Amino acid sequence: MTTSALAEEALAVTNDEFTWFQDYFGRKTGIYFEDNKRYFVDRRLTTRMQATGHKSCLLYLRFVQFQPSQSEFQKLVNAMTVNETYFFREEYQLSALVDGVMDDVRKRKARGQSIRIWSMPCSTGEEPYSIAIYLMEHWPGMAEADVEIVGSDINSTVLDAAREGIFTDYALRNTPPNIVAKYFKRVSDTGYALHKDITEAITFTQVNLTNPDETRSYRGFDIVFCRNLLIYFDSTSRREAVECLYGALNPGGYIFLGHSESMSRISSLFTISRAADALVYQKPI
Amino acid sequence: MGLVKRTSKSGEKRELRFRDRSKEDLLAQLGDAQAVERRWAVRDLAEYADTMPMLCDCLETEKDEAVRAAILTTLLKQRSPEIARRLSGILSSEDAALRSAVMDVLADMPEQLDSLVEPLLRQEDPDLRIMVVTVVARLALPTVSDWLLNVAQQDAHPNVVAAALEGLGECGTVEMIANVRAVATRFPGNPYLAFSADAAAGRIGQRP
Repeated sequence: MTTSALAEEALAVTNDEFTWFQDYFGRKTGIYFEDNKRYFVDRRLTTRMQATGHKSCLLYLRFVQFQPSQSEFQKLVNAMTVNETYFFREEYQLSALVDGVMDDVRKRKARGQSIRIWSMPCSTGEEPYSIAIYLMEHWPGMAEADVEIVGSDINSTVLDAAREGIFTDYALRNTPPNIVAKYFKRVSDTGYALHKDITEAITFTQVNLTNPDETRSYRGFDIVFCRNLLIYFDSTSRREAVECLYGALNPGGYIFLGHSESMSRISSLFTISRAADALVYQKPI
Repeated sequence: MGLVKRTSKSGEKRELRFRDRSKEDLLAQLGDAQAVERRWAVRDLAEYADTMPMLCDCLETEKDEAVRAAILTTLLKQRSPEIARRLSGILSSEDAALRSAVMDVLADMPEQLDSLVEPLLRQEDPDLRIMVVTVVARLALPTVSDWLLNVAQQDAHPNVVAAALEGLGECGTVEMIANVRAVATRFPGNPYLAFSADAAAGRIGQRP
């Protein structure tokens, strides 16, 4: 057996360790990895074991659990939650936003009150920035209304990237060339920097959606984009997350979910309606 | 006009709590006239496991759907056999929306409901037994198909048996097919049950 194979074997994750991790990580973050994600989880666990110099998974997991600063737990969260996204993903929902939803929200606003949009999870920023650009390009009300956009994620690394606002051409693969030319500046062979006027206008915050202590202050939003997150949660965490989203929304506020997600399977608190080509969920007024 | 940004570092409204959040005050707020206050009290009580019986009491009288949902989510998070027992008692409520919401939560408490299933399946009221069968069919427990087959073979009420057959169509095993088909013979002259048994056996047989 080669040295590297021996090292790999030593860093192997046993079935019991995987089961413990599933339960612990699920309780702490709401994200439950099914057995079919074993390879994904094992690879990231062994990477973190190597990075922290742990020779056994059991010792590493104990370290994660009991480390006073919990910084390694955050690094593990970051490793487990990197999600690929891109600008103007599921554009039909952005179209629905400017073709009905924004005007409906604006009708209920007093003069001087801003419209608040929450992008959760925002990953590396493509979603909140897409919302901002789409509104500026396609919503006439932008000339008269104030819009505040907050992007949040549990992963601190992606939030740093979001704040930096540098994107690859892969992230811009669905972005029209005229929009790239207008809002981005090429900074390397494959890198584009989003204009500072946009990056500095979005607020990014770290939050765990299933932790009531962290989410309690998230209130007064009119629109929430929570796409492709709930599918990773177990049923209890899904309910907790939806409770948080319900509390975060103003009466009459809207939620956009991912195209494969359905609120009606989780909660009956929202009414479903159609805006342009998208289904949206609305908190009763 | 356009994009605006809050000046606070977090970007969020600073949390302002105008009401006392001690356990005693939160319990008192469960009786607040404003549903939004009751809902926040429920959410904050989630950290006090000993208040779950009071939340169960509230659930029986609470009319606001959002407060109910918050109570049920909190009870689900704190799940215990006692909570499952209290919730199963609510299945006899006259309130259909509440019953339905409770069934959804019970289906997510398999381990806590485990020891209660057999007594619940022996209740006198067939409507209650149908609801229990519906919940049982959704439980993630290895004993589910045995429970359902037992109901299909033993229960006297055709509608309860039909509910069990429907569940068996989802979770029955290949070894059960002959027994599932034979359930129809318990109710000769009942074409619906003959159809249900046949359909359940067919669905079991089609599964890979």
